[in-house]
Amino acid sequence: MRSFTDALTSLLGKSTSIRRRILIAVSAVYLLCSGITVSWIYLEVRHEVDELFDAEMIQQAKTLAVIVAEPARLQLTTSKAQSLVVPSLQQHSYEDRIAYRIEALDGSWQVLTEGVPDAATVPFQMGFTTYQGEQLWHVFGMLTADGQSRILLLQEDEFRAELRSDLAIDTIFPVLLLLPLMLWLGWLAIHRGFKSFARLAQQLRLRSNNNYAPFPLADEGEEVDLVKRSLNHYLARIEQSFAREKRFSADAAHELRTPLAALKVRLQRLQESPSGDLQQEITELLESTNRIINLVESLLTLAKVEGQLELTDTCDLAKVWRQVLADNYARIEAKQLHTEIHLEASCKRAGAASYWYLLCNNLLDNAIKYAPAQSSIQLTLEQHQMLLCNPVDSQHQLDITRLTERFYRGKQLHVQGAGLGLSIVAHLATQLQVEPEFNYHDQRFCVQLYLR
Amino acid sequence: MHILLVEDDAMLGQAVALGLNDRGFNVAWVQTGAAAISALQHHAYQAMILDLGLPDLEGSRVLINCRKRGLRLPILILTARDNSHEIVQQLDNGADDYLTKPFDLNELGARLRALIRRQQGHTSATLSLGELQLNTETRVVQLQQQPISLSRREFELLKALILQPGRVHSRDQLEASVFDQDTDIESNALEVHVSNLRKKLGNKEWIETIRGIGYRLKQPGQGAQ
Repeated sequence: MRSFTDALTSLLGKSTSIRRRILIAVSAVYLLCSGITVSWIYLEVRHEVDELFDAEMIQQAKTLAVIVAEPARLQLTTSKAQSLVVPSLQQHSYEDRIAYRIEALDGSWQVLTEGVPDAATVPFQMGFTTYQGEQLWHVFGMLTADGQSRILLLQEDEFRAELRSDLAIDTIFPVLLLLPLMLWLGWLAIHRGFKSFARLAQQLRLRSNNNYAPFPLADEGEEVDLVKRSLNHYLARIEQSFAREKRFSADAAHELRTPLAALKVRLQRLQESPSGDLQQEITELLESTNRIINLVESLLTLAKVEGQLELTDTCDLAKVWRQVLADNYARIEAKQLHTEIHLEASCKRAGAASYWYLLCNNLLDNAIKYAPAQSSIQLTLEQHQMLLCNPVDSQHQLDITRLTERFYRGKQLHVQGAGLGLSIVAHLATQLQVEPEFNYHDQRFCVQLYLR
Repeated sequence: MHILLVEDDAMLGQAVALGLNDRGFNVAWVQTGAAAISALQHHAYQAMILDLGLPDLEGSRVLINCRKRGLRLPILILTARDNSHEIVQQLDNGADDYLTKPFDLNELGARLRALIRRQQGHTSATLSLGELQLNTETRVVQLQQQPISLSRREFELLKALILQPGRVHSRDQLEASVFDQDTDIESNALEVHVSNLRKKLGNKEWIETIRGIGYRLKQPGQGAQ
């Protein structure tokens, strides 16, 4: 039983389909129950067959005692012979499987069927016993009414076994015959039951990213309704969570930007004031404030892109890149950078242009920041990939595996930035369903985006 | 220039009021929407700076109230929210311009002056770069005081370029300015107009091609502006 359950557990563990698992489990239980039933029937049949044949043996012994014992004794006494052997008639295959031995208590005479084991092999014993020779024999011994002789009846077990086997096979045969039918019916029932789940899965697949409407509860079964209720509960929580995030971003934006605006305006006024002693400090304070403002803007952007973006729009990535390049061209020129640009005429992608703009702008901003003056930035946009490469100053050290970590800036702290740009890129890339790959070899940094 | 500033944050409100006063504006500062509506009923302002997140009622309500009452003063929205949908909504509600916080005081002053000029009809219709002049009302283009005849699309192209001289314009931006939205644009249509414009300006250097990106207008013989 243990090995059966172990094998079943192993089989169920290997199967990834719930339908298959149920089918295997039901079949296994069915087979187990059938096996137990058949075994029980077999044991019952064996018992009943033994009872029946034992009763028959008693009856035969009694008959032999009356019909055979006394005339045989008289015949043998008269003929002066010691034993009478009843020869085999060879009329039936079971003929040799039933035998008897009738003998005087003092051993003076005996009547026996041909081939019956002698007294040395199977000694007389009252009642039922068994003898294991080449075959198993059931043996019944009794004394005759006058107590002068005794009868020993022997029946080979195979005689009973065939009956037992026939009865057992006749019982198990319909069970085995019905198994495929039962499995097919079971598969049909399970398949129909799971159709509702398949429909639910299809509805889920076709849902847009920002659709949190609950699934309507139809009469598709308790189990499907249970899953739908849980899904609806989950969708409601996600919707609330996104709403909370949006509120948080809006509130944080307001709470952070307003005091920063006040600080910047006041510092600007101070900078414009005629008292010259603190001008340097005020300028530096204004620069620091601008850095904090940039950091806050990056953090708010990151918070926004970490949430769920709507991907209902499509845009032309080539147009986006041209706009990003145009908007940053003054910085490119200020650093005397050369640009090698190869853009497809058009490259349509899912996602709003503003998200792509943010992604491309962050990538180009990084390239401009870290490329040494008078070096070259290469940009290639093809239908299935985008590649942006720039040389990096030899003093910069980058750990390529940590580039998308928040606030990771390597060891180039003199370059202005918060270390959030590539983190924003990574989040946007995930949301826009593109795979970014960063490479850094021989002082050359490349970002490759695989567009699907 | 009499300005109404509606800003609930005391630190910012005070600083902006002082900063604008330094720049020649006469600023009246209130901190609530109700006070703004009341101030507009009793005084005439040349422009209003309106914060959206006010403690008593939303800035958008103040804006709608102003426009419903027929007040035509220019309104500049000052907001800490960067949601483009909201900004578009406020512009549709009647706002004339917007600025997101934190902002540059000089930029705020410049925008206010431009809004007031536009409101008073003092906006110059002439855009110029060096000896090149373009009048948006008369649609006359002059180079060294000599008129140049331009087609409608060449004029729109030059206007888009001269509005921000020295700045690189992507070809898509220029196409959007030159061609109607419903027009089917041939792939080299913009290049054809740029080429024609260059010929008419007499010097290729007026319009610089930024390879793979777009174009910019600059004075011949000079770098970017």
